[in-house]
Amino acid sequence: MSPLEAGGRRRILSLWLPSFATDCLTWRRRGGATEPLATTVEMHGRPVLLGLSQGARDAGLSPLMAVSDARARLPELRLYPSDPLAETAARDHLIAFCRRYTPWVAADPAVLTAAEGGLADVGLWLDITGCAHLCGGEAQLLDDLLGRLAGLGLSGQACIADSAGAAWAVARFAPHLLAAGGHVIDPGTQAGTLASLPTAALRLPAKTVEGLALSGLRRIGQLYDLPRAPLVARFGKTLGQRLDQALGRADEPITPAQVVAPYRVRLTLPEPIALVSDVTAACQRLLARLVERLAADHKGVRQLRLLCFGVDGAARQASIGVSRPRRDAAGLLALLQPHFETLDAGFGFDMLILEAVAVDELGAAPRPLDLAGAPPPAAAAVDDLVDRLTNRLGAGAVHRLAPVASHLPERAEEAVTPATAAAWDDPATAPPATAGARPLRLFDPPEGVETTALLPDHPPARFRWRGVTYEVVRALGPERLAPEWWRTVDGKAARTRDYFQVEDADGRRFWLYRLGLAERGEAPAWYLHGVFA
Amino acid sequence: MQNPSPSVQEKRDHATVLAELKQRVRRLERRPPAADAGGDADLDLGHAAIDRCLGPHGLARGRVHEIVGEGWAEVRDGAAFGFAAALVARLQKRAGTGRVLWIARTAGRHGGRPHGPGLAALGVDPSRLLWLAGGPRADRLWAFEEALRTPGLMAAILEAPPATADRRAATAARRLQLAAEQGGGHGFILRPEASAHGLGGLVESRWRVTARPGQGTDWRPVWQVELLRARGHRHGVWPVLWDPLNARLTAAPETPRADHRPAARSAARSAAARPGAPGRVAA
Repeated sequence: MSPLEAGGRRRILSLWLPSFATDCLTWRRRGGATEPLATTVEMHGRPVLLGLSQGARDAGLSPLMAVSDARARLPELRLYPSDPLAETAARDHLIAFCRRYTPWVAADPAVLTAAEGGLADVGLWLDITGCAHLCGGEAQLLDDLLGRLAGLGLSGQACIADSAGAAWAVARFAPHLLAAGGHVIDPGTQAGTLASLPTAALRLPAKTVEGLALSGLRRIGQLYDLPRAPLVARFGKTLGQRLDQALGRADEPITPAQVVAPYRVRLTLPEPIALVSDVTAACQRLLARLVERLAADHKGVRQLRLLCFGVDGAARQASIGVSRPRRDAAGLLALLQPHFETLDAGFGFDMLILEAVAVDELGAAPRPLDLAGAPPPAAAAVDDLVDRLTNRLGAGAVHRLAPVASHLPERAEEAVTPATAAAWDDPATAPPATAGARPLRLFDPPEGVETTALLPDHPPARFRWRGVTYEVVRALGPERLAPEWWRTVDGKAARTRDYFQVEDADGRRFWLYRLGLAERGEAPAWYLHGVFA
Repeated sequence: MQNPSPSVQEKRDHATVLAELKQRVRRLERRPPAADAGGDADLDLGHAAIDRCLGPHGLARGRVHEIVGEGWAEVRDGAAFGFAAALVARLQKRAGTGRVLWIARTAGRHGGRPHGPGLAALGVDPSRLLWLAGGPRADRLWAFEEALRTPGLMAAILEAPPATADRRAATAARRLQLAAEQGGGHGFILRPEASAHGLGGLVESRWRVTARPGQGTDWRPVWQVELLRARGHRHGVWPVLWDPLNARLTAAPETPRADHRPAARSAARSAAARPGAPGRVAA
């Protein structure tokens, strides 16, 4: 039984936007297209329809129909790929918009979505219990909502009823009641309204609906007087539950969508400011407020953006990123400060907005007290150094070398961000053990050298590199490195290399290799690939 | 610290007094304590003769040291680079954690790039090395100063162009020195060649490291290390061998090769081997 039954009835508004995907598309393209539209997704390797406009549905097309079939039926159909990110974002905006009527707004889970997350239609539930009088009544609220949506280019159908199930059923399955777009079921009368609707309006699985139809049960009204036990025994518990929910006999809670308030603070100034010191002071005040909010939520900043609005209407911005979540106002200000000098103040700024673009969890305890979990202060100081360098010199300026499992020297390492783990002594990730030594500096690409050798198989007796001739006194090698056959260079398979470590008369050590094998009839070429300590 | 009266002094043993006096001298010299809780301390090199020359504390921390190589401008050999990497390896071996920032030359192909497996073979743990490559010279200098000022950074290394003896360079050197005193880590500057009129007394010590012929089948790194100047220390030249397993410098065996030149002529030699000089064939 509903907990509200004693005090008063719940009133639920169900809103359905059948052409949400295509309406968004029209809105994004700013085109009032008259021809039928559809969005498509890949399913099982073939494109199928997902979102359909009113015109496409009138022509008899349905979601998940193959694109080829749809084109055969409706040649003028215009197709666009579904954009799941944009559609989900638009739905979230719609939820935020609907919060003007009630704080309890939830997305209705029973809408068609593709595996990739594209939306065909959108359904929302608004728990408007006790809210309707603010608009002057339920009918006025409905008119206001549908009118505003129409103004945004969204066609919707809506119904207000005592239960979420009844409102849902009428919003989708009762076109005769929705002549003006909306319908209000008076309290306590949903049983009569639902009686003539098809059983599919009870949010039942397709298999149950088919089973009911085989038994001759096509209307909801036919279920009212049947004994419950055999019905549940045959069609499962869901049928009874949905029926009770639609008639308001069983409670159906609505979980409102999470409200995510952005971490954004604003400072409006009576007089424009232009001095660096003034901007610093303003930023200090903004940071203090932002840090307070972050601390309350146990969050830390990863990316911070300062927007400065000038009196001429132009906005300048400065952004910083940090390698670990932080909320120390002084440290963040120190990172922002170098950017102030590059902000073009023009005639001055009269509004500043500081926004944490990306946040992460950060424990409540300040770092010096948390000796067990937090990094020691020295490591934190180095992290801060990395942040300062990265913010001034650009992302990727500071890097670490991480091993790569390849025996080719030029591929045996890669640059990673300082925060990435790069274990050189871990056997799982360390480069494969090599027979020969590896140089301290590597030339990439290798540099060609002219050589003189006693025999084709021998290391060179002397070689000329960058205009200087070096006499080879001793040599170690060869170490043969076969190419990675699964990779090709310029469409050709790479050739085998024979590496030699050679030393000249002054003790300089070089890493030379011969490309190509004489015994295979390849003309060998010599390259210098690195220098040793 | 108050001067202890003679009666008190007698009761203390000499070692305590000596340690206190040494700390006092360090404070007068504006140097950080010889060792702190984080394990940071001055660096001895493991080579008996060099350590004797450097005194009991070795390479001072909180100071900037300069290492000059032979042909750094075009990387003819990796001796100076290898010596700096060896110092890093020794620092890493001594302190368990601690990271090192290495500000490399421009990331262009001309000078090559540092190779992780090669560094690992030298005893360095590449996962604790942070690299900063390229960028304008002023930015690299700024980054070096910031790094020196950071407590907890074990060492910072800057690959710099040849020294110029103008006032701007002197100002930069003094700033770096002050930053190093603040941070307490080791600072190393790598330069292509030694110039006779370098930055004078603005660095704590200056070393020249050049390649040296190895012997037989031993391919461990061998260098000719010359201490050009060091505050309060003597000049010296040593043939050294880097032992990657124990992360220490040892005395290299005298080379039997006939063509090896004596160390005293090394300055003249490096002058002849300036980058851009015409090619020469060893005798």
